[in-house]
Amino acid sequence: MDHLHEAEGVSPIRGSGGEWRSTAARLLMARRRNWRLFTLAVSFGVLILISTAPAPDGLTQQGQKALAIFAMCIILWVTHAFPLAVTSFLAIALLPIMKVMDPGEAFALFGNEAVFFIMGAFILAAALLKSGLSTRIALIFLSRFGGNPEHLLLGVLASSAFLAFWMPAHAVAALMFPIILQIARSLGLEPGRSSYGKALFFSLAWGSIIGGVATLLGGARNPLAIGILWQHHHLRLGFGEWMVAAVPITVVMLCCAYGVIRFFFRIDVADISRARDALRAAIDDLGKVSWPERWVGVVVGGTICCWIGLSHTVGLANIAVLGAVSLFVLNLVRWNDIEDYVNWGVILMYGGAIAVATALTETGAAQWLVVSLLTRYELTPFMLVVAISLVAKVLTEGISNAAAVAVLLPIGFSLGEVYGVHPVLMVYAVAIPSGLAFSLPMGTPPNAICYSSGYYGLREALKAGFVLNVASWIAFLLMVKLYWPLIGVRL
Amino acid sequence: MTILLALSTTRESKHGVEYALSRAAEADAELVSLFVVDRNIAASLFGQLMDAGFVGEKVGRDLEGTILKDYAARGRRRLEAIASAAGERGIRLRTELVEGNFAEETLRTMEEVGADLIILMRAERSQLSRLLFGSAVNQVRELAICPVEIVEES
Repeated sequence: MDHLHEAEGVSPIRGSGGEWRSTAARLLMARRRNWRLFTLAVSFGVLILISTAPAPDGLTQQGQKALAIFAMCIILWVTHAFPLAVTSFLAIALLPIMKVMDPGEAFALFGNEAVFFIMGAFILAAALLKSGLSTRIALIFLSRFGGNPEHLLLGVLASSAFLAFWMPAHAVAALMFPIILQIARSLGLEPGRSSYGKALFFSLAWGSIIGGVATLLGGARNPLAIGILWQHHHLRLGFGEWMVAAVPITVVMLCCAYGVIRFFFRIDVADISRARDALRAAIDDLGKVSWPERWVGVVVGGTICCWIGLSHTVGLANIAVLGAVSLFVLNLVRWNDIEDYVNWGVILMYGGAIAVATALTETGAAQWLVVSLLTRYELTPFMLVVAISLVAKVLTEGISNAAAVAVLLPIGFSLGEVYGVHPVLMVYAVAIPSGLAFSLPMGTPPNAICYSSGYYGLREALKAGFVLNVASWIAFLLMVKLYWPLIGVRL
Repeated sequence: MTILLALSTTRESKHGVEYALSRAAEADAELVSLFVVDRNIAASLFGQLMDAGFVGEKVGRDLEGTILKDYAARGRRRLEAIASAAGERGIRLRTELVEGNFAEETLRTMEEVGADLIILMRAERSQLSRLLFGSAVNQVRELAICPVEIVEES
């Protein structure tokens, strides 16, 4: 018991991983294992039950099996009994095994253009992180807003959102977290008690989430949605088109977020000069802009310009791959660096999700599901958008954003055919709300990262997040009704 | 008599600490104050970043390190404050700062110090929330071999 000692001081921190475990602790671990096994058993039970039940009228045997795989994926994606990518990997193997698709067709979907776009975009984001350019941009951007507490709050919201335009929102939250923590410490904000501390971390979480819907780079669910659009309807959606449709919504939602933060959390600090000093010191620590930073900036900037101007002629994925290769040609990154920053499970996840969505459409299962179960009500196209965006928002609070898109979009396309909603509008109506999970820490990594700071509790996240969820949903619907017709996206 | 006061990053109210100090003073008991830097929170975050965010291991590890360091600093400050309060009242106190799983570390320390009573703190949450997100406090209560008192945090 040498680690326990008398009250005059506090013992140094000690980890206990891998050490002796008490009987009670072993029981605890056994319970967790049992829960995982139970979930796996249920998912496979559902797979067998649906695939072997008598086929209902109008549903082919292949369609029935596709639905069984889809149901299994939903359970595994929601419960996280397997990593998300492994679930998708399993699905892509089950499609040929259960004779829903030919093996060649199923595995070819890993080579979908959207998957290669995501790969290229992640490599470019890795270069931004590795070179330190993203941290420099974040610090410089933030330091411009350091006039008073209100401005700093706005700066955190705006800089997180701006960075999430060009990098995955999760990476932005991870990158900004130590900066915001440093600001909070420099101001002496007490976790759990400081209202301004809560406001700062909500600004970080919500800024990155909202920024993540503005472009195809903020979250891989956006390219996943356009990948599924291509597989279903052979329609292309360009980088610039997405931005024109989504950026104004982002701006409106950032205003809503700022309003909600100011409504719920009063500003209980008067002087933020120490935060300004901390930011200045952090910028000084970075030193002068290095040549690799400059060149990474040039490559990423050039790639974004090509995506905006040439995505329809050259192709999103081709530009992404060329941009990524340029980084290696200019010796700005090594492959090992990229592996530090990218989890390649992303390819399995999105390739598998596209394969499952394709199977649902090609076998007619999505159409059957919609016609037999979901078309009992008379709905206008706008009401359908209202309903599907609401379902997307509810779903994304509990499961990963990408899983929400993978689950909803195939069904959404079939519903759109019945009720007359254009597939491109359906992509926006599912993908944008699916990226906007503001309440639960498990909804999306930025929420989880900021919640882990300990500055705010679950109840505050639920209350303020619910209000923002409602406000952002209404703002989204207003934009659907008022703004999108102006740019040719009509109901 | 030995009283184990188990604190963690999310369970550390002044009210609960005050209660534990009073109980120790009343019973002339030794107070063992354990602060668990909850590795579960950082680990689940790391898992979520890797699994749902598809960021690489370095990003996750860096973030995990930042969070654990911050939690440890908070824990150290909290234990120092308790040590000072206990010293003023003449309460025998031992402290431990440990990184791990809250329920596991509390149960381990209970066995190690032969605790006669465990005092825990619990944030006000609905039963639904406890069902959805689990409750380490409930796990300790179910598996402890000594009485457990729970101070509800307001």
